[in-house]
Parts: sequence; structure tokens; C-alpha cells
Amino acid sequence: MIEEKLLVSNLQSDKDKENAFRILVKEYKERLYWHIRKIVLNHDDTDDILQNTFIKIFRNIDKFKGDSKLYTWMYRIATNESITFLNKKAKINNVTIEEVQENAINNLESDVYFEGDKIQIQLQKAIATLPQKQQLIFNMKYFENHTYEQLSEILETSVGGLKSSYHIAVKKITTYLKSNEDLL
Amino acid sequence: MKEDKNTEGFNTPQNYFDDFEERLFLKISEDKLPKNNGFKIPDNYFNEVEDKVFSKINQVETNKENIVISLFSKKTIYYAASIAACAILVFSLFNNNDSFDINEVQVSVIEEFIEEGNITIDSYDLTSMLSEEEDLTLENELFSEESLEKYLFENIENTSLLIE
Repeated sequence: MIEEKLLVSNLQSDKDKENAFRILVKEYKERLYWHIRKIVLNHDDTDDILQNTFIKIFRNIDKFKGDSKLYTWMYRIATNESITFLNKKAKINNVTIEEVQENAINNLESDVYFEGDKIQIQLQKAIATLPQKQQLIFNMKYFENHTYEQLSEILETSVGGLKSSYHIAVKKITTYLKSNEDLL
Repeated sequence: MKEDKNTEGFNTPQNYFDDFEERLFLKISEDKLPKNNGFKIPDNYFNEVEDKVFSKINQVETNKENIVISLFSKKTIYYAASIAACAILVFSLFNNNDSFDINEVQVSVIEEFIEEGNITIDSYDLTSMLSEEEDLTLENELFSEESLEKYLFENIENTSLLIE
């Protein structure tokens, strides 16, 4: 991977911006895709949000001051875009964000881009019972293998707070799965 | 018991043993969870992302260059302005001592407000408002007929409209 400082300075120069941006998209598209997908669950919505995320990054790269790492900044944009999307969907349909998520889970079974079985659906239901921030922490730690230090920068929360949130999240999820075992 | 037995030259992170059980039980709980979440993607999806993003960026840039004035933009601005006015009203109610300048409200803040879905205007609302008071004729000829035609051909999906 090209050194971050050089990449950022290329992204901020008129001459090299487009090439540097191609490198950036290539490097991060998969990671950001899976991050967004775990929040909104559906492929088409994820595709839209991923594109909007990169467009926002492209349009705002000059405002990136290097106070945080580039990928931390991009994850924050992707997270905000995803949550904004869910809120927007909830408002348009006049329902709560929880109902939007419930709906997304119910649609998984007929989704051609979902090949999980009942246990995976139960897992999504279990995750959906968590508060929004715990959902993010669980997904990013369990599935994306971020370190607590990385998470701390992205979510602007202390490492201690993240550790205890993650513990609580795992506990709640295992309890949920256990008490719903008969549904499998 | 001799405390330092077997530890000569070795050390552990601070509090390593204090929360060892907790970490161990967490690991055991994690192991019971499914290892993947069953999500799939269309074939070759990741190969197309760059092109999709660039075509969207170029589209936005081209639109900016052409300074396309949307027929509805005035109305949107009215909406935005009324929202900003409401925001200022609420703000001023709670901050009687501070003076507030409408020019300080950034367009991006208003855009974000609309983007978050705080106002929704459907086409029915728009048409009803337009028929009441808006005259849709372009008074000043901002565009040549040729460039208008080109724009319509490139941007309107329903070509049957063009025949008229």
C-alpha cells in the first residue's frame, strides 16, 4: 500500500487527484462495502451508500487535515452515511429505525444475495436488539477484526468503554440465540 | 511460596491476570457464534465500483459546468429558507441575548437537514404549488435552443416526451 501521507497529498493536488483517488477506491472498496453492508444488510442499498461515501470523500478530501488516519476518517463517513440512510428510510416510511432494520432482516430470506440459513438470520435478529452503537462495535470487532484502538479512533469512544460495550454485546447476543434455539 | 519463581526476565502486561477469566469466557462465548453472516455479492461487483463512482463524480461535475437551473430550485430554496427561519426562531427563543445572522446558516447545513429526510416534498406538492403561482416560462434566454435540445436528449429517459 502506497504511503498514506503521499496518497493524501496526491489526493489534495489537482494534478494527481484522480489517479490517487482510483488507488484509494481500489484499496478500500471492499472493506467499506462490508462495513456498510452489515449496517443496512441489503446489497443494492449498500452499493448506493458506498458510492455516495466515495463521492463525499472525493469532494471533501481537501478538508481532511490529517488529525486522524485517512481510513478512520473514511470509516466515519461510511458509518454516518449508513446511519443517515436508515434514518431517512424510517422518516419517509414514517416508522422507527428499529422497524426499518426488522424489515431488512425479514427480507433476507428472499434476498438473492443472502445465502445464510436460519442461524445467520437469528444472528441478525440478535444484533438488531442491541443499541445502534453496540451494533457497530459488535460488527466491527467480531466480523471486521478491528482492534479496540482503531475502533476508539473511528467511533470516538474510549478503549475501556468499547471493551465493556463489546462484552455486553456478545453476552446479549449469546443469550438471545440460546433463548431462541427452538426457532432454529 | 517464592513469588518470582519462573518469572526471571519475563513480564506480562499490566493487569493481565486480573481480567484473564473475563477474556477467556468472552472467547468461549464468541466461539459459539456463527463465523459468517451469509452475505453474498453479485459476480464481478468489486471490479465495477471505481467506474461507477467516477461516472457519478463526472456527472456531477458536468452538471455544475453546464449550470443547469432546475425549475424547482426556487421552491427548494423557499423551503430551505423557511426551515432555516424556523431553526433561527427556535434558536433565538433559547438564546435571547445572542444576535443571529441568517447569512451565518451554511447552505451545507440546510442541505444536510434535507438529506436526512427531515422534509419530504413529493411531486404532487410541487405541481400543486406550481400551478397556483409559478410561471414556468423562462423569461431570459439563458440557453440556446441547440444546447437545450442536447441536454434533453442526454438527460431525459422517457424519449416519448421529446417527440412532442
